[in-house]
Amino acid sequence: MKQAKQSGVTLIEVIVGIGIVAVTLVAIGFGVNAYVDARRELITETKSTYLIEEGYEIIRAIRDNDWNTIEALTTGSTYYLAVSTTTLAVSTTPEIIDSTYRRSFIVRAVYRNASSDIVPSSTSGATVDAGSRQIDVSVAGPTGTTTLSAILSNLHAI
Amino acid sequence: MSKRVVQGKGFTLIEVLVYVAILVTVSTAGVTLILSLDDVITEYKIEASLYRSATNVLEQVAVALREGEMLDVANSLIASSTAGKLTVENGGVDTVFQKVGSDLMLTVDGVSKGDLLSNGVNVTNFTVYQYTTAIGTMVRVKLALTTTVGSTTKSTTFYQGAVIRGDL
Repeated sequence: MKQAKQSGVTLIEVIVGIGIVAVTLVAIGFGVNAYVDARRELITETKSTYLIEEGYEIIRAIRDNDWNTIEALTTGSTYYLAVSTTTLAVSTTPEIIDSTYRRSFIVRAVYRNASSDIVPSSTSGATVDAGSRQIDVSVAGPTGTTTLSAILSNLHAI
Repeated sequence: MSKRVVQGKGFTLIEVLVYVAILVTVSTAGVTLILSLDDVITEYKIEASLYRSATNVLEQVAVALREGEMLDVANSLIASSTAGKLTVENGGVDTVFQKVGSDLMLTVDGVSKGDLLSNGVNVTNFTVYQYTTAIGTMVRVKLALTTTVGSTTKSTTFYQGAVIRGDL
């Protein structure tokens, strides 16, 4: 009696069913992979950000030592840091950290108006402030380049 | 049973063979996928714990250096990767970071705050570098961490540094 009433699963239905399961599994796999890739990128990005932060502190230390070192750099040119175990210096030789991360910085002029406010260079009457420089520090890592920008001044008026 | 055969319902031999073949292929792919997901998730956990440990240490070092008044050179081990020790003094309170074996210990005012690293994360290199400028001191630290889960080992190196402002 049971056999007479049975409406079995056809092959097409089975194939469609398995197809849906397969697509779902693959989608889950891609999703998890994307998540893990994002995490890996987060680590390299974090490392890059710490290197930039450290780069600023190194430039600040160089500034603390002698503002003229910073002021003498050509604006718009790319410079690198030379970090030994005991000395910090500006260099024109690329700095490669852990044979992967490339740290560089560009010095830009800071323009001020008559009331000493920082203004774009295009503003009429804007003059270059010899005691301030905008420093753009970049780190190129395996997942791209991160750049931060800050203004340093001749704080200690050396 | 004879009724079923007469009615000719159910699968033919070819259908069963095709079905079994598809099932085998899909289940093999499925099992492989799940196994590889397991690897991927293990790697994720490893990277997450490395990331947590590294940011924890580096942020605490940065805060100590920025709040600090001076680097206590006598109680620090400069340029030693195997037993690096950083002592920053702030208002008579010493904050000490030290590599002890595979742990990175934090001690504040003589009281141990324990290992700053997550479970299973080991420090392989904690090096403190000191730079003296005309009017101050800059400190850099190198931190290399490694962790192993199952057969997967991951290592990363981070750098952090700050000028000690307190003694300017």
